[in-house]
Amino acid sequence: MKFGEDVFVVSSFGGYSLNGVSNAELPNTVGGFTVVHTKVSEKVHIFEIQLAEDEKIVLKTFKDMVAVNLDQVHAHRLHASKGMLGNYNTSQMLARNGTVVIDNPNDFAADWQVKEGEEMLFQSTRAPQHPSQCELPEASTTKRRLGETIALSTAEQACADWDVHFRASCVHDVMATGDLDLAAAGAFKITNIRLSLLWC
Amino acid sequence: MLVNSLCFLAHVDFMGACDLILIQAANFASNQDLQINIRTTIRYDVSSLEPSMFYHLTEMFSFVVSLTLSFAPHCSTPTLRMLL
Repeated sequence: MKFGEDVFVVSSFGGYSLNGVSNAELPNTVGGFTVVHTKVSEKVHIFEIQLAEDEKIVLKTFKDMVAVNLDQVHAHRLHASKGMLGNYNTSQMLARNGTVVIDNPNDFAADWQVKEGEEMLFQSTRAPQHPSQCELPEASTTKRRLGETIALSTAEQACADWDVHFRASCVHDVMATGDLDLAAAGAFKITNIRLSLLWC
Repeated sequence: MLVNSLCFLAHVDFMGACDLILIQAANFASNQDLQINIRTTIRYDVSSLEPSMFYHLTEMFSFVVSLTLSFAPHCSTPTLRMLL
């Protein structure tokens, strides 16, 4: 992320850099706000940027996955926002021009791909980079079927205490990753009003 | 007014790999802008299922990137899930 003039990058297994310095000393500041790092376990790391008493940006890593919560962030901060999250006021997949709605997710992603000449933010370059297009998975590729490593009933049990709105996602993620710890670690657990995203 | 009073996208599936601008929020805090980029990765350790086996077939590829905005009354499907 770029916050003000600071660039803070979080990657898998709790890796991070601040303004190009890997494993920079923390606590520190990002955008003028304090960022702290908590190593919960070898699998789970948490980075918190406190915006106000009740507002914070929380980045978590669970193994090779990364999540971020805009926890209790006030709406006024987001009214002018744009990007892959779409338009905050209309819930539409708005293109960069702010007027065209793109229904196809791949086309939408292509529009919001970091373009040549724009700040990449990441320390290293990884293909594809614009003008090369986003790489798409082969629809026919099958390496592991859901449920092959963890049964549905086992995943449901692991996710039993999740909020009902997100339980299905928890079950799916546990089965997809084959890791029951994902449910226990709460890296993706949504128990409050927040904006959450995760990637790897 | 908290973030849940309005909502972002209810649901989007993207299964590809590239660097994306997830959000640009001008004047996010203390007159400073916030931009979050993500680098998505295709993972082939999940696969599609027969429709009869799982109701959210369209999400079979979409476990790595998810954005969730919860509890807004008009956000009927409060998840944005992108696939890595």
